[in-house]
Amino acid sequence: MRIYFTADNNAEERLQKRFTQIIDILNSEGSLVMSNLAQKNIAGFTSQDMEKIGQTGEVLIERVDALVIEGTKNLIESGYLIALALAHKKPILYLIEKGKVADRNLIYLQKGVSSLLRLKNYSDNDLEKIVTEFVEFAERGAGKELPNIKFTLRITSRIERYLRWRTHNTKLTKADYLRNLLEDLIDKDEEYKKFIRHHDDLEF
Amino acid sequence: MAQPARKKICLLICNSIPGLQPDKLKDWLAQMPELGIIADIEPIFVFGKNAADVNHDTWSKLADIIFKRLESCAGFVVLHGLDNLLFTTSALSFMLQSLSKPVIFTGSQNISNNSNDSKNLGIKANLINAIQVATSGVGEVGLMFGNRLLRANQATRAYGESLNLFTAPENAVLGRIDFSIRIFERLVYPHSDKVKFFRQLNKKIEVINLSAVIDFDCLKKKLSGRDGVIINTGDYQGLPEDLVYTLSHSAKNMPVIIWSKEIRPSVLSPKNFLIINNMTWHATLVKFMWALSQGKGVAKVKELMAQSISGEIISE
Repeated sequence: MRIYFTADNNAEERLQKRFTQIIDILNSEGSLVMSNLAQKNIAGFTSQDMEKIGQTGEVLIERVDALVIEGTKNLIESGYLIALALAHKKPILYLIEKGKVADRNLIYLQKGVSSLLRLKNYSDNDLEKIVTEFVEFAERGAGKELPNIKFTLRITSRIERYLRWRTHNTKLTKADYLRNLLEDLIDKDEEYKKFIRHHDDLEF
Repeated sequence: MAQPARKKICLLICNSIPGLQPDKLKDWLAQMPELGIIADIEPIFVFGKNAADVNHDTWSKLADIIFKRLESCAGFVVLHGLDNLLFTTSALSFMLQSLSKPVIFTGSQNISNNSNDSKNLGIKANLINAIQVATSGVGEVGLMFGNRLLRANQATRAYGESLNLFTAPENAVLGRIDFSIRIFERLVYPHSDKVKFFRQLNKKIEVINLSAVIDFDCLKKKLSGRDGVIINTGDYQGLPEDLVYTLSHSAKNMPVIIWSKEIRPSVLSPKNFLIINNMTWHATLVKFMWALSQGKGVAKVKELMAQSISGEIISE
């Protein structure tokens, strides 16, 4: 799973250590972390990927699975990144140290509008738990619910006839039916799960 | 935590959007609460017909609204349909010269009133990007589509599957989005302290698209009520003799602009003719309207057309 982590590059050393800690937790959960810190913002994408993304007009946030922001020190771009991530149905974890208050617009958005946005106050004691739970949420919850990759599949008339019969009088489209079949296969594939736990950072 | 001051962005609706009533703008905006975390949005309804109906009057109205809010707003986003978009953006770049605030146009191939419709993701993403750019202080009339911010008066339409619906020379790509928006400040057109506002453009021009079926008798009659002529030569390599003859006699006291990538200046002997090959068609046409509105004669119009007024001259 690809996660974009962003925080204030100019924050004091105490917070910089926290940022490193958050990245370490994400890494330990098997996520590939991209970040605005230390000029690592496009790591994880090959030059061919970048060229293709540039040509298609997509933005990189579309190509990650989740967004994590450490917002104790206010980040000018955080509102923009959250808005864009929500538009693309990406789960977001917004972290603030305990005792600090989040922007009221974010609180409104979390309470009233979006289940994808998690605002969390953290301390040293519960940071790891909060981040780990979010990764779980992103992996199993909303993070992968929007099928946005186009794929051309040529099928025979026999398969087409079967799909039409299978989905007739159901609320499923033929594409939904095929997607569900693939999701089932993924859920049951222990070998793949083992692979993904250890090698999620490989390109495939 | 101290809350940073929020910037106010004026969102101008310049296109029909199904189901959107001018008095229900706030309800429409409430469907996209994400926008509210970037800036304070003031929506204004400018024009409710299809973009194909946008004309000179709409440009004046739009420019007037922006000019009156230059002090109170940090930037402007204009939601506009694709038809006529490049004319409108070019017009605004000449009507509001030396801008110190961003005026960012955006839209989508599919503009609907349902923000949750996946087909409508394009407009929402473009709006988010445009609003963020509008908070950036870039003093330009720009186009924000897909992952690029373009100088609008050098942009042309791009065709294909990409979300980048427009393209521009490299020097007119003012910003790119990867995870965040990177503005290339060195490419932003310089501005003076005070914006120059031109409320009216001269629309008494004759626009000729070269073809094999030009009615010269009809053209002669029409020229009597015109202040200038502009010719889009397309891929023609020369001008029809009959056209040159007609213009030499019936338009000898007015400027004639020939927009062409192919025709050599040496073929244009009449002194009132000027060939333009370093601007887009849209920028050339609107700049001509602006230059004519300065009312200073053929020589002055030709001089103005040759100068860079708002960064419209393509240098490569």
